[in-house]
Amino acid sequence: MPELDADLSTATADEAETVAAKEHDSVTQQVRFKTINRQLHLLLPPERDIVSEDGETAPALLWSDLLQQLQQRLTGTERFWEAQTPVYLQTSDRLIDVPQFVELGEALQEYNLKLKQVITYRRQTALNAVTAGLSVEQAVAKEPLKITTNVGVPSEDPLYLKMTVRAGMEIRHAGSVIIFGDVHAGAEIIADGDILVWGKLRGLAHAGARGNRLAVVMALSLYPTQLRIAEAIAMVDPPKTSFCPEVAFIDTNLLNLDGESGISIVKAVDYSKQFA
Amino acid sequence: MSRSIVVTSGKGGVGKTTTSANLGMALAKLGRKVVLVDADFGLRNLDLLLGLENRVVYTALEVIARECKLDQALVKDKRQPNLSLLAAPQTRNKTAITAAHMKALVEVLSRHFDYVLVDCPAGIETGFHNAIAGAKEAIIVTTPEISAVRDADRVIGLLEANRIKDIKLIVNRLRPAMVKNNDMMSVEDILEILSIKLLGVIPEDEQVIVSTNKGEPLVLSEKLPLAGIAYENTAKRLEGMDIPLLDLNASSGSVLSRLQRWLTGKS
Repeated sequence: MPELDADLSTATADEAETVAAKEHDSVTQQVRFKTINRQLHLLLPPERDIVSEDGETAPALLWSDLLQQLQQRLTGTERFWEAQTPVYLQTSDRLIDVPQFVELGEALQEYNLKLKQVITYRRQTALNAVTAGLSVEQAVAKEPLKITTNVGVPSEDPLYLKMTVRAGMEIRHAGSVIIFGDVHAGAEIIADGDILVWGKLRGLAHAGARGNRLAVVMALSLYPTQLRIAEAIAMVDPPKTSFCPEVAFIDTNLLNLDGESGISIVKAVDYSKQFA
Repeated sequence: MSRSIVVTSGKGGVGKTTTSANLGMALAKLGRKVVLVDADFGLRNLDLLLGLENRVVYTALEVIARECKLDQALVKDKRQPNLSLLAAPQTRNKTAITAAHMKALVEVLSRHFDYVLVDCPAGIETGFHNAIAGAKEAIIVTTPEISAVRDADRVIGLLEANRIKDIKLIVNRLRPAMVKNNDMMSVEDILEILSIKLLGVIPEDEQVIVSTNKGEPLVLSEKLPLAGIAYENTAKRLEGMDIPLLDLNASSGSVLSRLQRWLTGKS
């Protein structure tokens, strides 16, 4: 069986690389809330496909998917905002028509947020925003026409969501992700930084998705379908005791048969005194 | 106050339509005015289960196209006049209507009925999005299988993202004997995974197949089989009554022992 084993191991390694690359690309294809200069900005992903340096494409988000994502983010973050907080909408290059502006406004209003201003560098979107009764700031196109994912970009502020992440949901973030709730099997959390789940982690978790081997995954109950840190992949045994918060990290002191360090899991109470 | 509830599951074949028919009939028996809306366009089944197939003249499509009036398209059940059916077109597919149509339809219906129950198609595509458009609440039907439960979880997430927050669970086709032997997921296992409110548990029952083929919902039987009682209890819980779950293990005993248990009040 040694031959087969060797094949398998290379296959896994290849897979891991492509997976990591893909996730890197589509990081920006997500609806995001961001506080800029004490204002709440809603950032929509661009309307075109994102092409990475190695030619892989992350397809643009459909409007219906975009709305769905927005709803999810609103559910997860709702309690952080005061009533009628104004929202500044950054549409990048998206063409948004009047009914779509109305839809966005209604979705935000449902969570007591007020769509205040639209920031766009697309003339038609600006006109539509005015028709929908919104104030507009015409921005200058800063982004290059062909968006490429570049190295050396600082990571985003942590994304803090209070929600149950259910099967089929995907949370991607170019920083650390904190989930106050459970992550069910069939869900995916992909973060460039750490992943902290204050609840049960049962889905797939990928920390350090852009290759940061120092990233960690921690959960009150750590039993993900699959665990990835940077390019390392691990399958996890069920926790031995019913309540056992744990931390997963790449332990550089431990080497596997290939001479690489893999993912280790320790009890949360032991992590800081032994490894930090 | 009228309630509009979508019955959905994600996975096919778990008993959405059977549940819609029986729940609707049970609510009607409790004196509520109920309309069942078949949202499974192109694959309509609800009229068959209710035995109303030959009485369908107009469908939701004609109502939307304003080719008939709404009350012309509503088929009133002769056995239980509190129950009406709005059938789905047989010949068209799911693109025949839009979410806005469905929303308007449910809105109008809820002015005339206490309950609008929408029978959702399987899957999470257009048909699903149309079916949930008008609903304020949802009932998830699942069977004790890992695939059905996973799909249910996905659907709950989608419902929440579409602003339907009142979601309750019906576990269908449970086999208590298998659960006892650890060969089947228990209701507790399912609740642990899905973490939503439980509305009812329906045991596996051959009578369901018989009643389906006869076009007569289980809850209309003179002598209610266990699954029929479970559906009635589920309907009562939906009405807000505090009805404990059936002791399903009792069914394995003889009639005499069940009677004895019932008389002595011990389970």
